[in-house]
Amino acid sequence: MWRMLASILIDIPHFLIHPRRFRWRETLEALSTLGAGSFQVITLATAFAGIVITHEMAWHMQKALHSVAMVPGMSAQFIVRELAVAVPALLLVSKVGASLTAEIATMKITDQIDALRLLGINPLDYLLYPRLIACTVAGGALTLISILVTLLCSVATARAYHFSPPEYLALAGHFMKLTDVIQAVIKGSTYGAIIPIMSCAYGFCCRGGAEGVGHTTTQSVVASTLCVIVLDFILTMLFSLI
Amino acid sequence: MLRFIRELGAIVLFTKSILYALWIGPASMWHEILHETSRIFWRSLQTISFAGFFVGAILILQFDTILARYDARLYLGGVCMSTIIRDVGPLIIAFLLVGKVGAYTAAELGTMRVTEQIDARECLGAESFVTLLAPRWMSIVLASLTLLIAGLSISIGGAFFLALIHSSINMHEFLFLVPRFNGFSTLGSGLLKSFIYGLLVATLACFYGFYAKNGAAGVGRAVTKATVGTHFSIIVANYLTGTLLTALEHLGGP
Amino acid sequence: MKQHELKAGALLLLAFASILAFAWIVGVNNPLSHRLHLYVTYHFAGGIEIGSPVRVSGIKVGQVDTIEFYAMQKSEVISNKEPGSMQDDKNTAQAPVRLRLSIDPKAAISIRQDSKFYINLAGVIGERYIEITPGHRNKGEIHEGDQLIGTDPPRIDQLLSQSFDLAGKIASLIEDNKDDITHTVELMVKLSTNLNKTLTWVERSELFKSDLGKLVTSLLALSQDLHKMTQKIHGPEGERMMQLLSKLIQRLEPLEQKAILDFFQKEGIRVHLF
Repeated sequence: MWRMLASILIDIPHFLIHPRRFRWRETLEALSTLGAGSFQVITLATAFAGIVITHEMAWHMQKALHSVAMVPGMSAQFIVRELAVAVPALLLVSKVGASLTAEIATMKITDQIDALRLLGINPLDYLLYPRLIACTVAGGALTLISILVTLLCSVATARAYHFSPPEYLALAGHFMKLTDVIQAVIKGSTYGAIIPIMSCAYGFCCRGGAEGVGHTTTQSVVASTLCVIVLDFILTMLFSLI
Repeated sequence: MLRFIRELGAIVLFTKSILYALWIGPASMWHEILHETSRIFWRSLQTISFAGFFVGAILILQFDTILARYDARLYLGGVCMSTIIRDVGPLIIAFLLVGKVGAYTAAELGTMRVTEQIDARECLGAESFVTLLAPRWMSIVLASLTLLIAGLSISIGGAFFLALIHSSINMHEFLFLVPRFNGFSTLGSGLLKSFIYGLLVATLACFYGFYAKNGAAGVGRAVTKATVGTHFSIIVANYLTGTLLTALEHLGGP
Repeated sequence: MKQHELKAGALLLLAFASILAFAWIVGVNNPLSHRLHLYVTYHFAGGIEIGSPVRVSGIKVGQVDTIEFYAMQKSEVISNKEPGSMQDDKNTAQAPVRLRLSIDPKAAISIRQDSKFYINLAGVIGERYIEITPGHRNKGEIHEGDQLIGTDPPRIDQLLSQSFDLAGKIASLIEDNKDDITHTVELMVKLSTNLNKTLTWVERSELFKSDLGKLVTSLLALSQDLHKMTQKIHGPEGERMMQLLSKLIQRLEPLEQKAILDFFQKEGIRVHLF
């Protein structure tokens, strides 16, 4: 598995300097199935998360300062910096990562990947790169969308604490900069890129029938989730140093 | 929409059958449950603690930046710890648990189904719910609860560690406001959420794994469905329990 | 079987819906039920926002519901003045701010018609709240929808600008009379040096010291003599003399009063001087 991961990582620069390996049709197809397919689930889930986090922040503010005056600032910051980035990424792992790994693993155990090789097609060109690009783009885009949706839900929830929407946005605007959003999008794209790499690395190493497919999928989901969490830590650390 | 309601209903009926099987199951089943629980616990502990540490560390980093803008680092310990226990900690650790325990179980049961092991057992007269599903379900519930508690403790440790080395705050400052935020309501909310997430992981993994079909691709699909469904239902459950607890607090408090 | 599944699913959704409904009812009703509403007017509501807490004797009992600009009638005049607040005549004509407070009725018992509504600062981030002082027992209780007058907070900005003004004036005064002031200071310096010289001379000169000693001893003798004399007057001899004198006056009274009195008055003064 590690050897597979290493060979994929080594192959990525080669792909980047050889644009002829890029396949438009597959990429667009992957973008529509992966990005648009996850859109509904992620939107709905982050909407709930936005409602919950606003209530939680209000609870904390009430405990700490005996006032809810800072709820917009705190919850908006928390949403943009962490919540609307981590939750969609983790959902994307389960939604895209699991299905990708299952698909690739199934192809592997039914010898379809070897068939591709026989036809003279590099399986990475066909399976990985279109999805890698699609997931990177979709990760950034879904992060932006979920920031928007979560903030909207937070605004709606804050009405319960007597913040009108313009008031909320004005208060939140004090603490939000464009760099925050840009950092969030960078994070989202990075997590998106991790998912197909891990899926392919695990899927190409799948062995042993239906049982193998199940285990590979499980391992891939766990590894991707861990990667997202650790990368989140590293990126947050990096951005906090800037 | 109708299909969605029917699936929900199927899950409810499935859970009912499992609970019934637990009720009528022989006493020896509980021995097996305990054994299985400890097996799942030790298998997943390493991953969960690894992730838990980083969850605590991330939250400290984020809150440090946010609170530093208000110049209110004194609240770092209290706010961070109660956020970990109440909300974000169970959520993210449960996400990991979905992959580690839920997807694993779904894959295992799905494989058993598509390789017709389950049918073979039923032909031999074994009741699947009593011999296979109920012990597994119960042990996942118990293991999830213990794993979530362990993960939360470790993430608090991670938060503490990072607060000390990163945000120039000393131990007393960190612990100063912790009791104010971490009363009965915080602990209760964290435990309740952990328990509910455990239930969801167990139920959905068993359900989707048990009803897998169509060979290897079907197993993959079952695992995907189980993970996505559990993630999503965890977030919805987070919302529902949060709302319910807030309402109860309103009712009990002033 | 499918019928069962449908029913069970619908039941689950119904349960979720009922949880939400329960939470909504509790959340909506509990904080808002049985609230007393007051209207408080201010000229300057220094940073109060909707949702700012209201406290009675330091305990939070409610919050600010709405803030509106409220056109005041001509007959209404705001009477209570606070130092630093803008209370000019031209300002009373302007539309003041009216806040609607919703207050826990339990706390409203201690609020009377003469309660004061201060705007205070609290907390690490300096959030504003309205502090209500409990009023006098004899004054009337407040009722739903009462209109009261708030005490404007001291306007820090105005105080600052005023003190800045004052500082500027002092500076210009000093600037204008620079020569006079330097002259005065120079004179004072000279005076103090002279005084210092005199004092050192006094300290050093032997002559002055001996003279001073003589003066003091003679003063002491004088005061001793005076002491003796006054003792004699206070003693029995003095009393007798006074009685004799008063008798003499009584006898002389019927005689030529005026002339004698004048005489005695003159003599008396002389006696006193003696």
